Amino acid sequence: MFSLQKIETKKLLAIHGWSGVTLGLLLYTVVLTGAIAVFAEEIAEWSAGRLAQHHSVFEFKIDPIIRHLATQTDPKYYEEVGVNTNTTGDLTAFFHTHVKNEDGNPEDYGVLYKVNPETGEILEQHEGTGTEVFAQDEESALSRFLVDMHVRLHLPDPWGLLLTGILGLAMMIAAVSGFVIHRHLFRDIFTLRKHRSPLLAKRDVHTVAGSWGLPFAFILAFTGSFSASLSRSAFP
Amino acid sequence: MAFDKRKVVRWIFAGPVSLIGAVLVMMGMAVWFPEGRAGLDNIVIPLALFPLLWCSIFLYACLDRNLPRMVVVLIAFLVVHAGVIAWHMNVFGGG
Repeated sequence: MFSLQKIETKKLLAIHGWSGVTLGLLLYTVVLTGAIAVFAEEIAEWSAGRLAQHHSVFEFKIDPIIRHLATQTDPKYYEEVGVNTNTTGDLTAFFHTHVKNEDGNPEDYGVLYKVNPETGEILEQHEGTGTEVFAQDEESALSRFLVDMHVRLHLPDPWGLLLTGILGLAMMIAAVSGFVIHRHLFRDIFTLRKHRSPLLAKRDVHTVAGSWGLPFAFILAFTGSFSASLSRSAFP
Repeated sequence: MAFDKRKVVRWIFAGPVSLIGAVLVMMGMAVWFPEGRAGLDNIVIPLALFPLLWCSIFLYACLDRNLPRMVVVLIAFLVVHAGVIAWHMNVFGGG
């Protein structure tokens, strides 16, 4: 592919190896949970233990329900109300105001009701910030666990996103250096010497798997490092 | 083990300097990159290019055989972009 001098190839091999060895295990966790988290919505429905019911809010007579809930809610939370249906078909209504949290960032604060849309019966009621009250929804706990593991490895802000951003950059370095050090890309992607020494056979498996997955690895690394490292620092 | 100054310099430039450099170039590009018809290109393209900027600076810092040249090139690159940002923010006054 590229005609590199021996010293550059050696350096790139070292970079390729070390970027994988130092952060590979964490990277594996992020990539694996990411592959599973693609189905987060389906997993949430499955883990709820009931058949998923996809209803629109407008299929129910929500006006009397919201009026009734409003009578039980502190007027300071009338500033905004978000009405939705969850995966089990219950109605959720979040009466909230807007406050600044300890870090000085804007956040919703109010009361979340979970209501039977047919009878108007209140099933659950939680007060707190938007993050807190929605985190108490047990039916999406598994999917939230997976998504949080993928996005920030369960580390607190901003360290989790920073770490996954660095992992993405390390993966990109591994992908780019791996691509550049190929001497014969097309020959390498079809070479599996199973009956040679075990080390050579393992190296061939690594090369074949890595080469076929190179475009995907590059896209994963690029989007991961971009969204994780920049979502907290560069976007307004 | 002998203390290798050259290796330390390379570590510094491939590590923290490459990250700071990528952020500075991303910010500086917003000033000199063409805005495009919607006036957004100079914001969006540097943001999207950030991982590639970092990757390029990192690999350059690792691979250039001539260490002093690498140091001079990267410092010049960073100073130019820091200057562009400072000029844009009117840090020097008189604007």
